Amino acid sequence: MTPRLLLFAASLLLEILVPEMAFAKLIVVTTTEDPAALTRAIGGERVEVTALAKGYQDPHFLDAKPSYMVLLHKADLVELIGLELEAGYLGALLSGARNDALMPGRQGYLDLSQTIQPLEVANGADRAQGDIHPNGNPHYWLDPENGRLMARAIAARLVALDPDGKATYNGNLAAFETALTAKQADWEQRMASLRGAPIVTYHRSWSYFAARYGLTVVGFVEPKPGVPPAPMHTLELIKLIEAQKVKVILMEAFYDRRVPDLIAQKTPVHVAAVPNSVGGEEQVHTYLDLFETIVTTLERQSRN
Amino acid sequence: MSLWLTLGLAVATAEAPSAADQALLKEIEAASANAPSAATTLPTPGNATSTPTTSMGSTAPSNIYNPAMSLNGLFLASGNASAGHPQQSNASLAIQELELQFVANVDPYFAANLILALPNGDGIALEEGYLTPSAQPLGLQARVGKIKAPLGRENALHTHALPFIDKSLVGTAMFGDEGLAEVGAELSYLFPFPWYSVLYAAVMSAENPAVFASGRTYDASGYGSLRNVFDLSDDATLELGLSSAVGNNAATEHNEIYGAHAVFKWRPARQARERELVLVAEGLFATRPNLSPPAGDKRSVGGAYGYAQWRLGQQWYTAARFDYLGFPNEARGISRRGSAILVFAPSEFSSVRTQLSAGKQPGVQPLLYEAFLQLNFTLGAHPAHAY
Repeated sequence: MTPRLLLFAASLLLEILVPEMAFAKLIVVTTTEDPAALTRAIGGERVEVTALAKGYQDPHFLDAKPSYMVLLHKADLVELIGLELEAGYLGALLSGARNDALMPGRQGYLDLSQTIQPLEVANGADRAQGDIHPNGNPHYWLDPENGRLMARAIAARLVALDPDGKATYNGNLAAFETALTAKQADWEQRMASLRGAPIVTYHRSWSYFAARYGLTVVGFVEPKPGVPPAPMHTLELIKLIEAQKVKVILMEAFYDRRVPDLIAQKTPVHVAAVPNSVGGEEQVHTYLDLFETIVTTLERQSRN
Repeated sequence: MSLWLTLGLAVATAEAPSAADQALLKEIEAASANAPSAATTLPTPGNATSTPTTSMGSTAPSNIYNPAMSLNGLFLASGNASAGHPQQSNASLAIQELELQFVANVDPYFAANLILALPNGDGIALEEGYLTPSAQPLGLQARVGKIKAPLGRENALHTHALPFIDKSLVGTAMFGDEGLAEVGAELSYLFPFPWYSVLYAAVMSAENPAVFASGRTYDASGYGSLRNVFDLSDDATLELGLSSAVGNNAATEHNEIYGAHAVFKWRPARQARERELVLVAEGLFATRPNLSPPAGDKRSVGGAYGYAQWRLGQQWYTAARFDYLGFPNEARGISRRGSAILVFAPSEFSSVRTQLSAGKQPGVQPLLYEAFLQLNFTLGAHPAHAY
C-alpha cells in the first residue's frame, strides 16, 4: 500500500469513527427548511444545519428514514415545527437516534410552535374531519412576524448551547430583524391591493399568511385536510369561485395541479403555485426569498 | 366510476344535478388522479373542528397521564379451493385480529410499549410488552420484556403491518403464525458510521413452539442481527441485513437459524404521495426446525420470498410476491406460492386489501387457490411504523 493510499485510508477511518472531532460547530437538525434557513442566518459559520424535509417536499409525508437517525445521533440541537406536523415520523426518529440531548425538555430539543400564537386550535380531534391538527394549524412559518419570533427563539437557544457565540448570534439576529422589518413593510404595501380579497387554497396551510395580509380564504381544493379532491366537492368549489368572484387559487408547488388547472379553465380564477418553504424553488435560498417569491407571484396573478 | 359519481350525487343533493353539471363532473373525474370520495361538503375556513368533551369536575381522576392508545382491527373474508377438487373448497368470514397498543413514558427513567392481541376477536394474548430505559448512552439502547425479535424483514412486523394479508411460507415455517417473540433482554448498538448500522443481541426464554420449545425450564435462546440502511440518493435507499438465532428445539436438539434480507425503496421526494417502489427479498435457513413431518436426519430446511410493491396513486398500491420453501433437502418436499394484492387505502388509517394466491404444496398435485378480502383500520394514536 502506497503512503498516499495509507493516508487516504487513515483519514477515511477518522472521518467514519470520530466525525465530531472534525467539527467544532454546533450541529443542528431541523425538520423542515424554514427553521434551517433561520438558523443559518443567525448561526452563520458557527453552525452546521441540515433539514430533514426538503423545501419541495410535502412535510406531512416524510419517511422515518434511518439516515435521519444518524444525523440526529450526531446533533446538538433538533428544531421542530410542532403542532403534530411531524407526528408521523419524529418520535420514531428520536427514539432511534439514541441521543439523550435531544429528548423533549432538554436544551437540545426546540419546539418552535411554543414561540407563536397558534390559529385554529380545536377543543378535540376527530379523524372524520381529515388530517386536522387539534393543537393548532402548524403552517405558522408562513407569517413573517412568526418568522421573527422563531428567529428570536433560535438565537436564544444557540446562545444557551454555545455561550461563546453570543455576540455573533445576537448580532446576526439584529441584522435579520432589520432586514425583515424593511421587507415586511414592502410586502405589506404590495399586498395592500389584495386586502379583503377572497381566495381559495389547496390545503389548509395559508391561514397565517392570509391573516397577516388580510386575505379571506373562502374554500379549499381538498374537501377535508389531507383528502384528495373529489368531483362533487370540486363542482361546488367552481360554483363558489364564480359566486364570490375569487381571483386566485393559492397552492403549494408540490400538490397535483390537474384539478386546480381544470377549475381555472372553467372560471376566471388563476392558479398561483408557489413554494411554501425555503428550497421549494431553486431561487428561494432564504426565509426572505420565500415571501418575496410568494408576494411577487400573487401580485402577478392578481393583475391578470 | 359512474357508480361512485351517482352515489356522491345522491348523498350530496336531494335534487338531480343539471345536465351541464353532469358533464362538468365527468370532466373533473377525468382530471382527478384519485377515485372520488364520499366527502362533498365545503369546509368552513378557519373554523376548527371540535368534539364535545365531558367535564367531571375538579375531583375526577385526571386522564392526562394516560398512555397513547390505539386499536388496529382486521376483518377478513377468505376462501380457498383446490384445482380438481371443488368439493374441498372453504370460505369464511371472521375478525382476523384486534390489536391494542399502549405507549407512554413510565417516569423519567423508562418508557413502556404494550401490545395486546385479540386473535379472532376474543381472548387476550400479549404480543409484545417491553420497557426501554430513557437513557441511551454511547449509541446503546436496551429493551426488556416480551420482544418480537428483529430477525430479518418480516418477523418484527405486526399482523396489520404485513405487506400481504398472510405471512411468507418460510416465515411461518420457521417462526410460526405469531413469529418469534420471547421474553428476554435485548441490547442494540448504533455504529458511528456515515450510514445507519445497528447491531442487535438478545438473550430470551425458549418457549416458541415453532422454534425453541425444548420444555426444559433452564433452556434459553438468543439472537443477533445486523441491519444496514444506505441512502442511494434523496429518493432511494438500500437495506441489507443478516440475522441469526440459536436455541434448542422441541426435541432438545440445538437449532440454529440464519437469515439475510435486502430491501430497495424508491420514493421520489417531489411525488411522495403518488409514487413508490419497494423490492424485498428475504431468505431463512434452520438446521433443526420443529417442522412436521421430520425427514430423518436431513432435517435442515430453508426458504425465501421476494416481492415488488408499486404505488399507483395516493390511495392505491399493488404488489406481487413469490414464496419458496424446501431448500436444501428437497426430499422433504417443496412448497411454492405466488400472490398478488391490490390495496385501496383512503387514508393512512384505513385500507381495503384484496389478495389472490396460487400455491403448490409437497405431495399434493393440484394447485391450491386462495382469495382474501381484508378491511384494515386504525383508531387512536398509533406510533409510526419502522422504515
